[in-house]
Amino acid sequence: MDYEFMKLIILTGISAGMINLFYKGKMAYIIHPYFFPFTIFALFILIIFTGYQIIKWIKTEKSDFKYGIFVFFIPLLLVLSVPISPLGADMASTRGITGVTGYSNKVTKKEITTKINDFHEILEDKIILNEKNFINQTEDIYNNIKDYRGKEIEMSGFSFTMDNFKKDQIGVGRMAVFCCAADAVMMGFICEKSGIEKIPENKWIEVDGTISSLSYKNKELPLIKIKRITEEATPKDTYLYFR
Amino acid sequence: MNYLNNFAVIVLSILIEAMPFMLIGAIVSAVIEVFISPEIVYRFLPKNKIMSIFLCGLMGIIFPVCECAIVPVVRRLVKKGVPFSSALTFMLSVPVLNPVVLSSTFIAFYPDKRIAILRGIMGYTVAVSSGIIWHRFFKDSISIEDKYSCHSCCHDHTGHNHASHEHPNHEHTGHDHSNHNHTDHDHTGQCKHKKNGVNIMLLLEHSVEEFFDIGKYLIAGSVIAALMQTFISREMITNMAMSPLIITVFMMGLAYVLSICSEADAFVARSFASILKNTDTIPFLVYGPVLDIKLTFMLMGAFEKKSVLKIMFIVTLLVFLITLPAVILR
Repeated sequence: MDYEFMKLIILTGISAGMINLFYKGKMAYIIHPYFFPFTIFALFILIIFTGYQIIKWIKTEKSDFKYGIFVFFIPLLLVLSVPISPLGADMASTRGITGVTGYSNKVTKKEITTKINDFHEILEDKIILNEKNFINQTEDIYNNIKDYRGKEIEMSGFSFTMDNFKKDQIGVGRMAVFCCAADAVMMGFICEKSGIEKIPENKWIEVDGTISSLSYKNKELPLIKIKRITEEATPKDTYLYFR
Repeated sequence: MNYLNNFAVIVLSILIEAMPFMLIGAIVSAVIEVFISPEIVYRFLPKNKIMSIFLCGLMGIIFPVCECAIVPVVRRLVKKGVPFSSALTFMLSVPVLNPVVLSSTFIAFYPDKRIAILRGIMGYTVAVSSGIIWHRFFKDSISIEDKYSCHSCCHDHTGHNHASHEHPNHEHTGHDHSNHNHTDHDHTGQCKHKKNGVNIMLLLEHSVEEFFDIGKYLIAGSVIAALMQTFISREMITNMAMSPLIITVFMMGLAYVLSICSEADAFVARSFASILKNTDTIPFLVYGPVLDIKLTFMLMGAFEKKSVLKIMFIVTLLVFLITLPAVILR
């Protein structure tokens, strides 16, 4: 096949693939939405390149074929063959569980103090984690376990297990994305399920329990003692996004 | 099936995140190719090479891009006659000593200001020392293979720049054109006399070539990095005995394997904080931006294998020696 034509196919393919990911709303599973302007800029440049390549293809009669170009078909084939969905619970086993990322620091010092005060002041008996407060609240709980001990908590996320877990332990958490899926971390809690027999793994669950603590690898980590657990339908986008 | 999906998502995320920066790199590199002649480089670069190394180490402050954009630019600068020791320092310092990267580190580790400061200082030290070591022990002019097959434009072909480098008069005779008139100077001169319209086509020509050239290494690198991310556990490090030596080696290994963009890696580093001390992440933060899987592939594509191995050896050793005290002292 003509080398210049192949380059044209690749440039067209990449641009079309990116447009398709945006169109189907799947781009957010790959990269943080705040990064979209950069991605659109890249797409714009690629479209210009495609335009140039059309001229080049028409003008060039023959050019040397370089086999390295086949590497470009790997991402194209992946987009075509894999139904891209968000990273799931099975990534927890390779990424571990995270409570503190430091991202809640991304507010000014003054805001931090008021925010932390906010969390502490509005501490009602029951903490409900949702998409908006998940990251900051989780970091606050990890940083101030003492203050939260005994409080009730309700949250939903993927259930997962890790190698170091005891028999009656299970993790509940969500993937939190900084920039792109490659740097996402699993944010969540270790839970203890004493008395509750059947707990689904790698499923989207809602957990209701009280905060306690445990020693995990010589560090004190918060622990949720589960009272009630329900299996729920997995939401469309399971990620949390750092803003 | 889940593994395939995770693998695909990670490959695509590394690529799509790197894409804008890589395209900027390709375009800047094309601009250098078309508009900057070796004479300009010689006029602006300090004649004292050590001085030039120290200065090049500070360039990141005005050139805030991450590691993906820098490789093609450096390759082009070397072709235009920048001594390799200076270019190497530039390449190693920009992804660390850069306002975007340092401020994200500062935010991630707030209120622990030491980490961002240490990262900047150590990154600069590694970059400058690598440059000086290269200047002292290896040749400053390394040959760069020209892989382009474009015939429609002016081009310095393989060996030409090499020849001009080794010309004994070159360093102190910026105005002595007659000696190397037949080499790359001749070609770039020709470029500049063409009309603007042609220049834009030339710019596109080089940008597209650079995109394809560097793109395949970026893809190969991100495929390997994604495989590692899918199958190798980050928890692994925490199951190790925690001596400073092992922590340093593993944090560097982790940075190499994960290949995370230097603008986001501070947050990932901070996420280890539930297991490690903040300063334990310094080897990760200093090594990651200068060397990882995807960069190895990109470097292999840009320079001779032998030079790349030398760079990798020097940088790895330096990062290890410089960051180890931070881990020991906590």
